[in-house]
Amino acid sequence: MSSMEDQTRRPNSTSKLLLWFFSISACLKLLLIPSYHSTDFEVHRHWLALTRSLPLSNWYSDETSPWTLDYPPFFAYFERSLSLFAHLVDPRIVDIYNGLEYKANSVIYFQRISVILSDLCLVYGVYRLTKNLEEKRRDLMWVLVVWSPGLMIVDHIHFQYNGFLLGWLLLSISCLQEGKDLMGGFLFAVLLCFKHLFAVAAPVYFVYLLRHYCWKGFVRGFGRLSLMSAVVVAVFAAAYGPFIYHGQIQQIIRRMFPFGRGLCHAYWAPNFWVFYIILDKVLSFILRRLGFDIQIPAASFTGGLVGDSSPFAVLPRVTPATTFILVLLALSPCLIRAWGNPRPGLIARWIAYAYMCGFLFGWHVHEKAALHFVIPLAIVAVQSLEDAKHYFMLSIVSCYSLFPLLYEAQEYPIKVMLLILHSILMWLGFSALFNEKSVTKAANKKKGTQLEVKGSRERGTLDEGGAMKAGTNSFKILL
Amino acid sequence: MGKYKNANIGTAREKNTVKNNSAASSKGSGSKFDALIGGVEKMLVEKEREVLNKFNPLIWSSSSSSSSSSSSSSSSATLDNRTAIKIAADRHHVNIHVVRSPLAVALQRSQIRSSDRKGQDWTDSLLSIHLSFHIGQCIILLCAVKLIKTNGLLTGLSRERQMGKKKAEKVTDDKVEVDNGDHVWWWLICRSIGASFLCISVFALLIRVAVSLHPYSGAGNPPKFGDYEAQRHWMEITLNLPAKEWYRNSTINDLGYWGLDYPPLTAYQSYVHGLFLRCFDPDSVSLFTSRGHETNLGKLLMRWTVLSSDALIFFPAVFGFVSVYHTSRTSSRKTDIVWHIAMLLLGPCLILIDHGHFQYNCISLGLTVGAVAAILSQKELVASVLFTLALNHKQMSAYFAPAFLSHLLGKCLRRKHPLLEVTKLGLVVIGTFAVIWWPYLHSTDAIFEVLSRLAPFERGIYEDYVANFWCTTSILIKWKRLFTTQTLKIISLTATVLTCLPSMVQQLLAPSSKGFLYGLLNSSLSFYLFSFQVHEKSILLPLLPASLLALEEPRPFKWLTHLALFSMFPLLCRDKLVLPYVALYALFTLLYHAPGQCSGRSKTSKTDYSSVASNMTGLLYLCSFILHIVYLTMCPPEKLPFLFEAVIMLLCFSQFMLFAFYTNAKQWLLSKRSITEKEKKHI
Repeated sequence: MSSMEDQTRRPNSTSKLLLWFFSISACLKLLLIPSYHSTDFEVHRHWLALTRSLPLSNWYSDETSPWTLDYPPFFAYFERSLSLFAHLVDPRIVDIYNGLEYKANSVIYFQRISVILSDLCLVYGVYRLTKNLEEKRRDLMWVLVVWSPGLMIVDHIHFQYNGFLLGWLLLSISCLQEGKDLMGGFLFAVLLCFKHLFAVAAPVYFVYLLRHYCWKGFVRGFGRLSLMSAVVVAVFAAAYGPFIYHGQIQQIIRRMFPFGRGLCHAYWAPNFWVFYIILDKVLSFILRRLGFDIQIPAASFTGGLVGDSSPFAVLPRVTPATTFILVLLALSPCLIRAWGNPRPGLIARWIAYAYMCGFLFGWHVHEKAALHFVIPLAIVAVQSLEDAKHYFMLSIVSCYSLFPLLYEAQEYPIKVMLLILHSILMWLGFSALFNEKSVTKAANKKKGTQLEVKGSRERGTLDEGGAMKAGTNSFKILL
Repeated sequence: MGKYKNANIGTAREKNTVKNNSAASSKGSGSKFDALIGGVEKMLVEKEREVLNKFNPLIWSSSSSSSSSSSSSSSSATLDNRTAIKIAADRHHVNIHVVRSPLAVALQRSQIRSSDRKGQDWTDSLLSIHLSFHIGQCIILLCAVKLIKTNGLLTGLSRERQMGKKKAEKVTDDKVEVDNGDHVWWWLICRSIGASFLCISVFALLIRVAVSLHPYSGAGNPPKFGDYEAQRHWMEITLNLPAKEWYRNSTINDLGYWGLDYPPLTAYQSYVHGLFLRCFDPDSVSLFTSRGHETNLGKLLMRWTVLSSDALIFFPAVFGFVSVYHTSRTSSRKTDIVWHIAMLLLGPCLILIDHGHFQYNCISLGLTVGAVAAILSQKELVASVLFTLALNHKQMSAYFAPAFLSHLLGKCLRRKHPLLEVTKLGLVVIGTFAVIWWPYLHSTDAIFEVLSRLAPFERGIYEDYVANFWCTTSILIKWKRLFTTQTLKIISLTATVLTCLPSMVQQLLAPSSKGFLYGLLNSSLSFYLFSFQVHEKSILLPLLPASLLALEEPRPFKWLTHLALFSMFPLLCRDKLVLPYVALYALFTLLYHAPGQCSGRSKTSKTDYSSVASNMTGLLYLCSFILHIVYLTMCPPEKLPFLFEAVIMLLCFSQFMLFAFYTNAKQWLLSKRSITEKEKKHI
């Protein structure tokens, strides 16, 4: 095979190809600048203004706009650093009063381009992750991550900085896979201080790091444990320290965990609670038909806000604690596996699984949270045909579930086209990756006995499906 | 209680629509289950077709149902504004997903805006719609799982393969050898060319949709607006007046305001698109009152008409051309074919003019490409029909006429019965013309009426700052002052014919496929440089054969694209299309220099170029880059307000002239080479 040759030409040309992928997507992202953007655009603009013009002690208590700061401090620092450039572009962007609902071209270009550039973090993350991977799997993973339709919809049309944050996550995973546990833990702690919603994977990190990093005899293990906790504490201190100093910590926690917001977000994420609510509605309907006196709850799910009264007519009320326990329960098989056999090769799978659990059972989940598991799952997808099948379905469904974010007719063809393109790319990529492997394997297997069959297969006379099946069988046997 | 009932009725109704949808899709895939057409893409493709096929009856049912419910709810208690907006937003997304038609939403937006007040009971019925939406999602999910499991999507094949089997697989499987460049693109080219083409064409469509988000020419610029308004006005005229009136100046058809000045096929196309517009936005094409009509919905619908014509005419034509062209080429690598498809479908100039500036060049150019494909596959009659259609869509297609004429004539003369062949072709061409011009054939007056509209000689020999001979030399020689229009007509005609002649003679003497492509390039270039009344946008015509020849002449092709874009830069600046200009130019450069691609190409082409030449082109690239910046940032001196345009024009013109010399020489060398080869064979 040509793997030796690949090894030699790797460092230079690989990064070139990855950058090429990135630039192609950047061109499309540039073209999408005038497309629809959600209120998140104004949210982030306001945060630019807020962090620029107010002292640190007021960041989390300011209420000039309804879009108050509800991300952890590192994200606020990130906005602050962006605002330095924004000020140079157009001072009105960072004006806390005059800038409200500012919609000039300058602010749109500035914010859109800042998202495009911050995606470089994602590119670096995926580069680190795939450094030591076989060439074909690597190419495919780049296609899946860098050209992810979900990121395109959420970040570059709807407007958010998920690419940047997921880049940190991928960096952290890449460190863990290389065995650099301390670095991985550090990066994850940093990520948590950027966006606390990533904390769903914290149990996995905790168990994995405890077993893989700290479980090395009593003295050495204790030393490592304290080192790791020192690093994490240092990160959190750097993030929250200044706010603790100003006595703002309670305010921050109130902002970051708004449990009053209700079980489901205004746009429901397609998770377990949807079925729960449907069941409640159906039951109450049937019971009322049967003659029972059932109160129709005053609160609505679509409003996003729920008061004190229970929104359910029949079924018991769901509290944040319930969802928390359910998430942990769903996570437990994976945690037990991680405890029993902490293998670096499986960490990406576990993390993706953890985010999936959080998505399915969490409290007030956004549909955008689907990205948290789709992107790490791409790492897993290229490993085997079975995983590829799962990823194929999941990524299509999760991309489809993002469709409600773009409700204007103008963006309709864009989102449909993105999804179609993504599925075609996956179909081409996966079938190329696994077909070829299976064909060569099937060929190897039958080399000794049936030369003529192999020959005919290579000539392509046999149905590809048949070859594929034989290939997967042999693949399974080999495993 | 009553409220709740309402909601339940809503649920039932919405559920029905969801069921219908899923039933339809599963039925569609079920019938062809055995044919292995399926998988999730199948459903998605169907969905896309649904979008394109805008005459979906569901649209009407949903819009009527929601309008009735909104009227019922408007009477009940009110909420505060913010909730109302939220509800409106919710309704949007529900509608999109239940009905899956953007038009319904677009139609409703106006209604929703007018009725801001929402009743409390809306939240409940919304909830039920939500529920049905999620049920729909689950059903789709289950369908997807089932399809994947039974069809074995990753192992199974879909119709691209069958398509590929027919056309392209025999091309590629036999001849294509795996090369170094291939293993960068293994994931794109693993299957047939059809699959790769599908992938690239979806990407190309995506780029086109993204470009169409940007402003069009003359947006918000009364009283004359721009090409967008012209096209819309033609739809209005053709839709509301009988065909005889289309080209006649009268009280109901003021030709002074964007009168129809393209041949009848454009008028028919406007009529069809007008019908489509009338279905969804009748105001935008109503007679008289719709002048200067500019709404978001109107813009969207107009953009979609261009998109659909592009996808239905230009894309298939390119596919046909690529499959024919690469069967005849002996040394095509699969990667090269894919690269060539990308170059053809993602040419920045065509996308910018059609989907940014707003025109329908894709139709006439697509028909021309189809004609070229037909000629390459030896189907002369089909070719002449297609080219006649192209000619009847835009008279500018006549730029290619000398090449078609000389090639077909040259071929016919070499056959057994030359006269018979020529008459056959002539009859086909005349027949096609007759069919298209049928409404005007009743009198010579009517024909001349149309013809006078098609040749607007009164507009002068050049307009604006187009980089052709007449405009550039007018800096020194004031053509318009020295000669009358009549003499100028004759002078320009002779100049054009004279410059066309070499390539025509070559094709008459030695007709060949390659020579024909060069002939197309040469004749269109000489028309662009020397004919009467040329527009900047006409550079699209020489660019087309250049892109067809992209594999033969990669570097000149890149250079020509660069210059063509540059020559249109002032125009695109006026249209506020600088951002798509930059993005598409970057995209083109990236695709041109795709990794794993150019290694082979640059090696072969380096021998053609001396270091001096490459230094020169480098210098010119730098110049044009600086000029771009200067044009954008600096104000010209007051005495010479068009200084920068003139400089751009000069630069482009000199390069176009060089290019014309180069390609003419290339074409003549072709025949020489073939002669020497023949001689060698004889020896």
